[in-house]
This record gives sequence, structure tokens and C-alpha cells, in this order.
Amino acid sequence: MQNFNVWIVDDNPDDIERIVRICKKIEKQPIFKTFEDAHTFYEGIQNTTERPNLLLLDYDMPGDNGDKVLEKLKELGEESFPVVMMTGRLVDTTHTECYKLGARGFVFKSFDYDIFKKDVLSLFTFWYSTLEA
Amino acid sequence: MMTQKHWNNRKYILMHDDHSGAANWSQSTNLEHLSFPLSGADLTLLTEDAVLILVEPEKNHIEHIIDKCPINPIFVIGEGAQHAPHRVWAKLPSKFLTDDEYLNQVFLPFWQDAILLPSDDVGAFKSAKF
Repeated sequence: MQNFNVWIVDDNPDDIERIVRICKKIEKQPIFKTFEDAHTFYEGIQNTTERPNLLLLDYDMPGDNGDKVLEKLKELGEESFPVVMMTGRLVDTTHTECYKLGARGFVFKSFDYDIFKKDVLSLFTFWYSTLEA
Repeated sequence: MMTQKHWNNRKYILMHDDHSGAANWSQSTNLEHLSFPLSGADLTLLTEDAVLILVEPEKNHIEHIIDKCPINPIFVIGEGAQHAPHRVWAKLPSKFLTDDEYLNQVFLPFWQDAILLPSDDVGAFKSAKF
């Protein structure tokens, strides 16, 4: 069975903790690598040949926002892995720009734990299934 | 052939050339169908909210679709995703075509419930549902 490597870029450790805790309930446990902001992520990705199977990218971060990170990934030619954005905004025209920059979707960071858990489980179940393809 | 699926407002377009399983993909759902050769599909019929699923496309198929559908989500079954990794959202397992459980319990929960996509409203987004 293939490893499922998931990288998370998010300045909020509570959100990261929520995702990690939810994923303890699924059969195939992702292997996480986390980054606290865009710049540590840039350093991280340029200092290793390892790449994730999925990148979860927070949109609202200090320093470079999620859209800037997408631009940087394009500059670096990093197109081999899907990027799913996480956002607390349900309605925002910046989403369109992120899709144009290569985002594969947005997941809403609901404060309702049950809703967020359901969405995160769907997210991981779907993207893990694509590893078989 | 091209098969059109509707879930709420979002259209799923399955484009194939009668590859095994693809022709019968939507039998278990109550959906409209449109059929066109993959290489000659009239992409002007598509709207920005359509989700495209290409079965074993060749490089020219993907290039043609990218030109006409610059922001539509594109999925690929079989080979071909490597021709445009920046535009292919995911390579789907072939069981997408034949396994209703996969469609209903893995694919749709994410794409219908968890993800936010451009809606029919120009320049705006609706929440969660297609």
C-alpha cells in the first residue's frame, strides 16, 4: 500500500491539530509534514526532492497568502501534486484567481467540528483513491 | 462519445470513445446524455461550471480542451494526464466508470460537499453544493 504524504501550510496550529486528529480515524493514515508559513514552505520544498501527494494550503496567512504561494509554485515549475486550498471564507472572488493559478479546490474551515470532520474525511478519502490511478 | 450528467446545477461531461465501461457509466443514475466523438466534441456547448472527465485522452484531445475550457475542472481516466499536469486536476481510477460505490461514497462526497467551485453566478461562488 502506497504512503499518502500530505503537506500542510497553515499558520494556525489549532487547524493543523484538528486535521491530524480527524485523520487518526481513517484506515490509511497520511504522513504529514507541516509548515507554519509560506517562507518556511519555500525553504522546505527547495531543500528536498521529496514531494507530497497532496498539499493543503491555507489561504489567509501572514506574509505570502495562498495565492502568492500558488504563483511561486508555478514559478518553480512545481505542478506534480494537487493543491487544495483551505479557507474561512465561503464567498470570495479571490477563489477564481486561485483556480486559475492551479488550485484543485477549496475546503471550508468550518467551526462546526462535525462538518469540518466530514469534509476533511471526504477530502482525504478522495485524494487517496487517486493514488491507485 | 460525450455523456452529460447533471447534479444540481453542475454538469459532468464524460468524454470517451466507447472505452470499456465508459459507454455505460451513467446507467445507474437518471441523467441526460449527449454523445459526441471525443476528438470532435463541440466544446462550445460547455459552460464554466462543467466538470470534464476524459477517458484515455490523447495529447491533442487535452490541448484542444484546454484551449476551449481554460478554467473547467478536468479529470483523466487512463493515460494522458502527463500531457498537461497543470490542468488535469486528478487522474481518476478506472473504477470511477464501473463502481457505483466509488462514485457515490468517494468521488461525489468530496466534489459535491467538501469543495467550493465556481457557481453559475458570474464572478461569485456558492457554498458547498454544486
